[in-house]
Amino acid sequence: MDQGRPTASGPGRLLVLVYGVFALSASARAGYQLATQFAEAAVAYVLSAVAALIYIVATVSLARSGPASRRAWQVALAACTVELLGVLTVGTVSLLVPSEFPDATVWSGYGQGYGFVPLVLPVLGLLWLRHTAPGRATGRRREVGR
Amino acid sequence: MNSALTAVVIAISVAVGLAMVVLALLDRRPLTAVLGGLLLVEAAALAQVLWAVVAVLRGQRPDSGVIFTGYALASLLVPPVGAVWALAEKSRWGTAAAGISCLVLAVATVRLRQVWG
Repeated sequence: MDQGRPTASGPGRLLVLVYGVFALSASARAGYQLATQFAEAAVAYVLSAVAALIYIVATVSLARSGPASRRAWQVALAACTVELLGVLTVGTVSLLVPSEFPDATVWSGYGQGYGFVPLVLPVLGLLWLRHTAPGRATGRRREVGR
Repeated sequence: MNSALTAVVIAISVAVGLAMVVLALLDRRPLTAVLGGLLLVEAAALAQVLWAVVAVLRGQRPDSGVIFTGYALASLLVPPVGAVWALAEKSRWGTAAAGISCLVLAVATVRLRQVWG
């Protein structure tokens, strides 16, 4: 059966690059915040670290997913889904309860500090994953098991 | 940060980045031009970091040394890593990825200037 196409080729090349940039910048930012200012805004900084972790997982799995690794496709799907839920939840909470977010996280205000790229990115990721899904090229639904 | 120098770096990286995005939209992948553009952008990033090193040796200090150093290292890494990643893709999307790398350097340069104070 069809094993899906590599997610890091074609438009995916661009997607993984942008994910990589966010993985790097979110990790650096979270690491710095946790190391130096943790007491000031613990909730925001822990969320920054969680976001950074999700970006790392999404970057690696999107870079690896393809016929050789269907598991990576599933991991990427999970990461992008959690990422979308995260940016929607944190975005909403940061607007409703701004006092919990004295310092911005990457997902505050739906990522407005980053040109809303954090909001658009998981949507593009999920659309791309649907496009590259194993089994799609033959018109079959994704099969259970392998 | 020397604002004239950062303005030049931002101008170069935005110009090269947008040119590559246009080439990608035209479905082109001119290897020499893309590599040359990335080299030019890396040279600009290097000039900027060297300026900062000289400024620090002369006793100037950025507002936050740790953050500034992080952005400085990232600015040097973005063009070569972007080049390797982009040129492995043999389609217009490789050109587009190279262009986005240049635009990322422009953003990093804006942040460098802010962090310097």
